[in-house]
Amino acid sequence: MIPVLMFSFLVFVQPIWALDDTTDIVEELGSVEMPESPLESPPDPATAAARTERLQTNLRCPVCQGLSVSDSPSDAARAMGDRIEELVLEGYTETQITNYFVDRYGAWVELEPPREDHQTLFWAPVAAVAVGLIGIVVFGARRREGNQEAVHQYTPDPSLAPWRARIMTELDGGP
Amino acid sequence: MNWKVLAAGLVISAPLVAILAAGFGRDPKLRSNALEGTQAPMFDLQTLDGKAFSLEGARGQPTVVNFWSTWCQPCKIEHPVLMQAARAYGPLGVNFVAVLYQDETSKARAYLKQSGSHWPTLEDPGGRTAIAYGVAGVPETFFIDADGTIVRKVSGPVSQEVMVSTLEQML
Repeated sequence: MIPVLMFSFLVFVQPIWALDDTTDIVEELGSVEMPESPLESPPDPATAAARTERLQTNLRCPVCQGLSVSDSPSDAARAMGDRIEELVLEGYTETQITNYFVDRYGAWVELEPPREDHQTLFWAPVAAVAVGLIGIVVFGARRREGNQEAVHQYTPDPSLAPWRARIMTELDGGP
Repeated sequence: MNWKVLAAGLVISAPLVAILAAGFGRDPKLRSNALEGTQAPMFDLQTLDGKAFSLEGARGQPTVVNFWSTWCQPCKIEHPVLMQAARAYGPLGVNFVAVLYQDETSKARAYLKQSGSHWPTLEDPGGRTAIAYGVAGVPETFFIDADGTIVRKVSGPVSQEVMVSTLEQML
């Protein structure tokens, strides 16, 4: 009888250290609505860990300067990291979770936000300068080539023809 | 004047100036107000007194949701404004509710006992509700209309003028 009572006591009565930690009890009492349902079924532990790590590395801690969720020791980052893990375990995809945070904190929450179309325009002047430089180099090279050809295309002066004939005769070993 | 050089300079510099000018209109580090105009995320939380609170239950009436903590000095500056607003607009049908942000409930209880409050203060385990509202610091206040749409988000302490003008628009 005594062992049965002791067993019942251990099973049904919470130990004192469990009573001190009320976090788990409180967590069950709080819930917040998600904008959409998870697109996938809960992933296996290895996949979940990899997804969580990627997201925690790619998303920015909202109260820090340039630190990812995984790099920041702040309470806000820890809460965000835990939330990411929860959502991954519920089956939310990486895109869903990223969009969830972007919708709330703005594109800034991504450490490397996707490039926007108008930002591509920034490279247009750079490309124009590059094309111009290439044009100058090619045009300059052709011009130099043309000058060299002009040097080689020597047209003898007709008035010097007798002299030229004499020189050539002497060179050929004539009288 | 060398028109060719001027034209080439304009071709290069004009797009740069246009892009930089467009950038003046948006600060990527600014906290996003993207939730304004969208449906407020509904939540079920527990008050410091252990009572259940559901935002869904407040639908049909304007609601002010204030995220705060006892370690936040601007929250203490804001507190009298909330008190006055709750006294004036509570009888007119506006709900006021506070969500504790990364704080200890015992400290919040002690502060509210001393400073008073006319609204339920909710615990936010895991900070899920704060994340759902994109809270990046406290105080942050969300004005939710009777349809459950967030009509305004204020980062930092709400002044009396902003509080009154926003509530008047919502009523």
